[in-house]
This record gives sequence, structure tokens and C-alpha cells, in this order.
Amino acid sequence: MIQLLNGLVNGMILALVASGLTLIFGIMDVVNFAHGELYMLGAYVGTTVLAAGGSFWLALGVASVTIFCLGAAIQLVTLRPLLGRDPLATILATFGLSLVLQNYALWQYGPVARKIQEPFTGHFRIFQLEYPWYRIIIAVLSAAIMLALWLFLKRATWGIWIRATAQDRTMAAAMGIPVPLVHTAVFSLGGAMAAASGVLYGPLVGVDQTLGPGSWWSGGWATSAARCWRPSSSACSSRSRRSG
Amino acid sequence: MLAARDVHAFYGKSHILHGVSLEVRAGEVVGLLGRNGVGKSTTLKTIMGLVRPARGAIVFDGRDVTGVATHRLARLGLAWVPEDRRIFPSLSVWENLRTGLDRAGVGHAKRADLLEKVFRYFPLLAERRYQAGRTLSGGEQQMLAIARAMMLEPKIILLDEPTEGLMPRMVGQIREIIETLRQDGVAILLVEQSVPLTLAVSARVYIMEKGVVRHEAPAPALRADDAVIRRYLGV
Repeated sequence: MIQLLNGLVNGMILALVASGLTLIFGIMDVVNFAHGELYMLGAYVGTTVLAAGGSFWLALGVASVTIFCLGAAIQLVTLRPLLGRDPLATILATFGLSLVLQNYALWQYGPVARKIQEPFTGHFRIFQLEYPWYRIIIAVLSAAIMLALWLFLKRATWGIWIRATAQDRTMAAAMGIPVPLVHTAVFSLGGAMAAASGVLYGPLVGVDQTLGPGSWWSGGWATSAARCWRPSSSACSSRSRRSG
Repeated sequence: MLAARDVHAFYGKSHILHGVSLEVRAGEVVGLLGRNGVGKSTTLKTIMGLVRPARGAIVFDGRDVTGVATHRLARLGLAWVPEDRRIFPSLSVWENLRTGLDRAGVGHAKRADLLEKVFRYFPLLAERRYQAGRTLSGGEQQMLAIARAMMLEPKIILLDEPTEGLMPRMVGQIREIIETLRQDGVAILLVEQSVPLTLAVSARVYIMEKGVVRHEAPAPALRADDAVIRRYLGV
């Protein structure tokens, strides 16, 4: 029973990480090898905010916003110039980026794992066993973030722009949708979601510079599942046609 | 209002346009005829900024717009209805229309106006507004493609083979739409395989051959003299 609960909680976190990854892959055709690093950096930003005396929720917010901005910078500097090039180029670029970010974290924060204190330490009894409330909170929050993303994609102007761009970026541009800006926003949004999951998951595992790659592999598997989970949105539909 | 001046364009290494020059005045319907593969669609794509001209210039509203990004051109008042329609397949009819409506300067009243207008032209789209784009028939998709372009309130529509693969009844409807758009003051650059339709709706016609414009004439003159049509189009 506990295993089942743990599985659900871990699954939710992976789904959150993976939906960011899928968003980026589905819309930009970029396999983001640095996604795990954004997740890890998000967790580190969280530890910094906590060390400065901020609350857990502040850490969650600051980490998401910081990584959103970092994501925008990364996209503008490394990915935008590669648009329309061989996919291998973006794979190499993001892979290189992941090495840089990993070593930056090692240099900045050192090799010793840091701990994020969970905001709730309470437990409840289930089948004669103690189970921490915090894990339940994680699962619920992850689900809420994904639901918010779904509603955003479904209803908001930017959501429609993102889906239109994913389905046919040439036609999207012809309808006046600022496609380059949509790409930047999507990469940032994916990064912010990774950062949020990093902070949420931080209390369950220590935060160190290898947090990213480890989760990336599992994230990769979850991605294939998440691609088909997202309803009526971009990734499952026919690939966008290139101008030709 | 819109002019292409000596435009050269390439797909990879193949030279498709060898110096195309043409002009469309405000509110004018201009036909672009020619056999398959002479560069008519490429001309439209180049005007829309989807193919970058290697040489030459595109001028729109007195401004050189060569190399301007496609999404900016759409905001300036250029709309493109591609020959394969390119409806966003998983977006509903309504969401397809929204891609052109969600922009600065479109308030509630204007939104309602624009929608009311296209639903009056195309009542079918109103009925199907929550249906996914991919579930529409070819003719319905063509209507949606034109309606979607109208959401941009364009000064000119680049209309690429609107009647391709449509039933004769639909062809008549497309013709009516072109007439209505013209009465509303929207200019149209029409690429079409159907010579009679083109001659019927256009004021002037350009005929392309091997990547250049070979002939220009007022449509009535061509209607009277089919020697030119026979020579360039072999019909």
C-alpha cells in the first residue's frame, strides 16, 4: 500500500518534469538534454532562498521564475540560432549545456548534497503505518500544476498560439503568431515546470549536481507516456509540416 | 499597393523564380496563371516571407518588406490562403479563427463583427465551430482557410488554388466569396488552374512561364483573345 502511494507520488513528479520536456519536444522538436539540469538548478535556487530565510513557498516561486528567465536566456542564445538546422545540432547544444550547468552547480554549490526542509512534517496513519502529509501535497500540487497547464493550453491566447505553432509553424506565422517568441516562451515554461518539480521533490532526496541526469533518464521514459497522455494537444497530433 | 520587383528565389540549388515582377493595386483582384511548376505558388510564398528572395524586392504599402518576418507581414495586412489549406488539424473551427483574432487592437465589438461577418458568409462554419479542423471536408476546410485569413482584416489575400479538388457547387461559392471580398475593398492575388474562373473575377491577369511573368493583360482582353491562353496554357 505504501509502495503504491510512493509510486503515485513519484509518478506525479515525473509527469510534471516530463510534461515540461514534452512541451519543448512537441513544439520545438528540440530534445532538451539539459532539462534535468534545469530541474536540478531549480532545486538549488530553492535551497538558496531557504538559506536566505525564505519560506518553502517563496522558494518554489523564486525557483520557477528564475529558471523561467534562465530558460529564456538559454533559448535565445543557444537554440534560436539553430532553428531549422539538423536536429543533431540542438541535441549537441543541449547536451553541452547540460555539462556546463552540471559543472556550474558543482562549482557554485560544492559536492555536498543540500537538503530542502519540507513545509509540512506531519504524518498520518494509514494501514497501521505512518505516511508523511508532504508526499500527498506533492502529488496534489503536481496534478494542480499540470491541470493549470492543460487549461492554459486549452483556453488562453498563448495556449492557442502554442498549439497552432506545434501543429504547423509556417501557417502559424502566416496568421501573425510571433513564432520565435512562442518558442522562447515554451522553453522557459518547460524550464519553470522542471524547476518547480525540483523544489517539490527536493525534500525527498538530497539536492546535488547529479540530481538532474539521474532524473533525466526516468524522465525520458515518462515522456513517451506523457506524449500520449496530453489530450487534444500538440505532441500527439500529426507533425508540423515544414515550409516547402 | 503590393509589388514584386525582379524577384529571384531558390529552393536549395534549384532556381525557381527568375525575376518575377508584378503589381496589385488596392482593392484589385489580379489573376496569376500558368502551367504547373512555373513558380506561381512560390511567388506567393516569397511575397509572404516564407521563401527568402535571393535578389529583388517586395514592396507593400510603399514600404520595402523584403526579408521581413512572416508574422510581421501578417500583422501589416498580408494574408495567405495556401493551396493545401493548412487548417490546424487539432484546433477546433473556432480556435482556428482565433489564431487570427487574438491580436492587438481587436476589442469585443470588433471580434463580434468579424465573426458575424464570416458566419454570414459561411453559415456552415458556425454550425461546426466546436468541431476539430481535421474533421471538416475539403470544401469546408477551404471555407475555413478563407474565413481564417479574413480574421486578420487583410488589405490583400494571396489566394492559392482555392477551387482545387472542390465540387462544382463549391466553385460557384468560392467565386461569390471573391466577389464579396472585392466589394469590401480587399485586394486578391489569385493563383488558379481554372482559367474561366480567373478571367471572370480578375481585373488583370499575369501569365507565368518558367519562373518569369511572360504576359500581362486586362482580363476582358484575354476573354476576347484566347490565342494567348492557348499559347501559354495549352487549353
